[in-house]
Amino acid sequence: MRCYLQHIKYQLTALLLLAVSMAFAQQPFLKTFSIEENNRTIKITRLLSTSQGWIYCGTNEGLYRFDGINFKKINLEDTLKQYSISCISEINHQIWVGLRTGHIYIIENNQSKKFTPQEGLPKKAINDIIADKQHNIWIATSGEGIYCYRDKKLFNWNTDDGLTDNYVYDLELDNDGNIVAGTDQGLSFCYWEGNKKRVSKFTSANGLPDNITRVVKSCGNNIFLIGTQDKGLFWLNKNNPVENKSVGIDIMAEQINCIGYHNNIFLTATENGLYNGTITTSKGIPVAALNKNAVASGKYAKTLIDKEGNEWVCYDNKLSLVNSTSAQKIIPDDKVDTKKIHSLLYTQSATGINYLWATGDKRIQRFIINNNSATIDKSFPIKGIDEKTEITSLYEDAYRNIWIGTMGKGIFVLNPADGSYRNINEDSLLSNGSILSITGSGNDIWISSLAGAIKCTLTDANAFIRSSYHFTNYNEVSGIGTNYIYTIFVDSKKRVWFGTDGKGITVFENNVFKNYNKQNGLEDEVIYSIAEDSKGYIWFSTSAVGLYKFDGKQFTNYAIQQGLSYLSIASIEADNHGNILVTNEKGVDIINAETGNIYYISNENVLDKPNATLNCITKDGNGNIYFSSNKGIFSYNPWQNKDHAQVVTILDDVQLFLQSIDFHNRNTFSYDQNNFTFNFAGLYYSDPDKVEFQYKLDDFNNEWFTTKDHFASFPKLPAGTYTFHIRASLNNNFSAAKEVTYTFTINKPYWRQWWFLLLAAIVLALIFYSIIKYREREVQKLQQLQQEKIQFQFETLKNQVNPHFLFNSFNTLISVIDENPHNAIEYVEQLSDFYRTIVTTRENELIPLEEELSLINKYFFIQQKRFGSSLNYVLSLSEEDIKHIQIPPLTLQLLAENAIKHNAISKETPLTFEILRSNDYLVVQNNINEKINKEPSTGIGLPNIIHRYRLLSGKEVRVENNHQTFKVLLPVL
Amino acid sequence: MMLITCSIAGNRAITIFITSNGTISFRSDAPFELIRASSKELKGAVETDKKTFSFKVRMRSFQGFNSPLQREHFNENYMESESYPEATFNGKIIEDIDFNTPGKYIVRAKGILSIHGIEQERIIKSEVEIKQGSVLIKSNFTVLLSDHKILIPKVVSEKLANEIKVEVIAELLPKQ
Repeated sequence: MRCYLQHIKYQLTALLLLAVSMAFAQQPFLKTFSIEENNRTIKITRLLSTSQGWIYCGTNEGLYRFDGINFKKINLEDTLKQYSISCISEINHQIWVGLRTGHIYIIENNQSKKFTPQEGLPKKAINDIIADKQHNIWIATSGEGIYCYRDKKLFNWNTDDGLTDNYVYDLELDNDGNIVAGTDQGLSFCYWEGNKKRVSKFTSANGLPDNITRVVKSCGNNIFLIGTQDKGLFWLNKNNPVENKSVGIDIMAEQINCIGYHNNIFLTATENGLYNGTITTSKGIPVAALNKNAVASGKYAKTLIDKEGNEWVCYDNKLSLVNSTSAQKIIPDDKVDTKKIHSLLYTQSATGINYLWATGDKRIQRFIINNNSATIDKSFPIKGIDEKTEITSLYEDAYRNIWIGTMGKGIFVLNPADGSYRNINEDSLLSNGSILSITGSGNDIWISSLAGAIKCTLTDANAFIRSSYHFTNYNEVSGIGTNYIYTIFVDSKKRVWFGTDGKGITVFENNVFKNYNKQNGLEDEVIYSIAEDSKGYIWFSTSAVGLYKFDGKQFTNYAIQQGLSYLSIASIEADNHGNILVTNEKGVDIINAETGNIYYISNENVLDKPNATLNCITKDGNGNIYFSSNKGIFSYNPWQNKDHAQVVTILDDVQLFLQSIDFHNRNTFSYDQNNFTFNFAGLYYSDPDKVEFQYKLDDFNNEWFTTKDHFASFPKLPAGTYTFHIRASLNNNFSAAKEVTYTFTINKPYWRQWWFLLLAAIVLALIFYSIIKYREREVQKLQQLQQEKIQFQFETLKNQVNPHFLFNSFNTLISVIDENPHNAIEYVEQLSDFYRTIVTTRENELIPLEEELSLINKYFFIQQKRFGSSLNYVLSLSEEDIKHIQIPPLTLQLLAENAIKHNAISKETPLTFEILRSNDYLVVQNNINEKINKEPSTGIGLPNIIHRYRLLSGKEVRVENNHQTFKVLLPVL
Repeated sequence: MMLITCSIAGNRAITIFITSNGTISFRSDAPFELIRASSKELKGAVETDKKTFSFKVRMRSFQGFNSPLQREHFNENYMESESYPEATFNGKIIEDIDFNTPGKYIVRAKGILSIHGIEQERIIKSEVEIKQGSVLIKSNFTVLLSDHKILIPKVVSEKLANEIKVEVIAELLPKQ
């Protein structure tokens, strides 16, 4: 039965803008998915992210695989029985599934098989399955301790062997190859010493805060996060067990249900909520930080951080995406007026507090940022700004004063410590000026205005905002090219870059301006935003042609073709990890500065519409970038791993006539196995809807075919060898995509195999040859027959013109004339008739017996005139036979002649010539009275008859001579 | 002494079941020869409240074989019955099982299997049938000769399997 799971829908819960007070703690899930079958929601209780990239969900009714959009049921057995799954693990690319009943299944290449050790299986629920470095499989149970499958034997470890308790929640492997088991009575470290079981314990006696250790999560380097029943979370440093510390005091009294971990980031589910944290090591000493996640509080069963870094939870039996790869909403739109956000600014106080500043209505707002969550801190209303005046830019100077740029009211400087501020009027260009951006480095502040660029050089006196500021103006004459400057950027080499409106980009280095414009290859000279990547290359965005990268010599353009979402780009920022974040009104793109690969932060459901005004981007010291959209303010955490954000292409299933085959092990098919369907997947959980595929089947159709479907069908493939290629991309740019291939051969049918063709040719040749041979023989036979016949006739004729015959005939005639002249006439008539008959019958090969007999009658009439009663002729044939039997002409005639010729015929020795029928033979016989003086025999007559019969019918003439009777048996024809 | 006291105590539930005539048989299914032998002298005891058990069999009590010489080889060359006269299996039943309720149960016995003087920890799956007044134990398992350092000369390697199939049938009666 094929299961396309059409009945399983995924639910896309739109962003629920919860209007509950509680600061921003009510951030909803980005997306929620549920497995629906027969109008019931299947309870998702376990999560696994595999090395291949799939997310598996264990439910109380079986196993499902999730591709970011749909769930597919994985049948554990052929039966449709429902299984309640209590753990899913990956071991050597196999998925091991433990059930509440104690059964274990192994899934490999989409095929499942039961795990059936001779020793039998546990009767209690399986809580975890892991493999150690020796490939032993360790199985944790709820009440039977741990099982270890080693050398095809299953061993049990329980309290009798020193285990702390037989109720085992979780297993992990430490650096030394020991198993770390969390039980109801503390931690057990298990290992084999030869064939001996060794267990060491770590319990409350050793300082474990709570013996009920529900979760053990390895963070590498022998550092473990331990989740307990009542005492929350703590970390255990196995290298130095004295150093165990609890993590995050605020969950010290909570039950930990799960810890998801990926790249030093963990996500913990408790009975009351979710916590995000990081654990890093500094000089071998772990440092952990924990924060309550800004998601609705409640009971969370499981958490998972997938390979891309997306954070997932089981909540309310459903699967929810808490945080996407990079974009996390930290301030929802009901807490900030997103329409008034024209600039964002990150600052850090002297005491290390992280602030995010945002422009607002006649005010600026300050939020406190703490590990991807934000709380409102303070609002700073600025008098002197009316409704018509927009705040365009924010900047923190070296003395922690905040510079506020406006359209039409110049610049205000704010002292955040006491909230005092003043309008700057020292510079002519600034008073009531329109400020587009403020930037700077050290004591230099650069201001771009509609009247040109302005530089402010600070002194220590400027720690106090009341002190006067010193400005230098750079306008047209200065060489920038125009007074309309959108942005100014000071790079790591202290060069100052000016992004102009219509005059390209200008760099100010060693007091010299150098301008790059159309003549340098820039197709758009309106520059909105400038950033510098980790290699020191300068990136800048344009109003109409996307991005440029400048490596000091040449400009490289990135546009739609390279994967950008939109060409008019308001803001860009480098994330300190090799990526450039690009915001535009279609979404947020992330470019890998080195490879040029472009990825996306999901826009539809997460961001809606990013803020496309300038300056709405800022970053902190770690490269986290903050940006806004009409859905609120988001933070982006840099992707440290260049590759992890690639879409994973998987050839999932190959079907032959819609039946799955084991394509990993099979690639040869017979000629009629020619209907192929390829099912493939492109895993990109951050934004699965963006995935597109290209496939081709080499030697069938060498063109790539682009599709969003997850399958390709090829019915009726002719015989041949093919390679199926599949690759996936997020942005229609497939050139860098990894291909997955499957090569297979459809054999020619046997009648088109060379050996068959050869055999057929040989057989045909043989048949043809034998036909020719047969024809040849037939012709020869015919010729021979003809020859025989002629010879025979000649022989007969010769006999009849034999002088003896004539002489005897004439003598007879003389005597007859004497006796009876009337009879003489009759005799001559018969004689002449006889000769005529001999002559006329020679044409036919066979004549009716009747005709032959009339000849014989004539012959005997003639001979009887001579021999009288000494010659007897007896015909014993039925009328039927006489009419129907066929006979070669002159056969009987010749036999009669022979009989008369070779025998002495007298009154004493009469000759009786008989013709009779015996079975299938016409028998011609006569008694033998051999002449003393034999007449010379030609030796032709009888052999000629035998030969003729053989040629005509293939039947043999039998000749019997017993010295009394001479018998010739002619086969009846 | 403790056990005796317990049984004397009278009306308490029977806690020890024993046998001294259980059947244990083995077969070696090698390419060139099938060897079978059995003993009806399997001794054993199960203590139900502690779930512990103990079984042993004298190696010299095995009968059968394809020839008397083979039996001699079994005792002298392979099992070295002089030095290691008995095979034993002692341990504890993993499952909780109510010996007072008649019925058939599949249990797993975890214990130390000692053959040829070599101890191996094993889990042996057994069928336990609790009847009125007796306990019937049936069990099939395999023993690898290599696990117990029973060396097979190369000459007979085609006649003797490394994997020996063992079958146990024993009816245990309450200890009086």
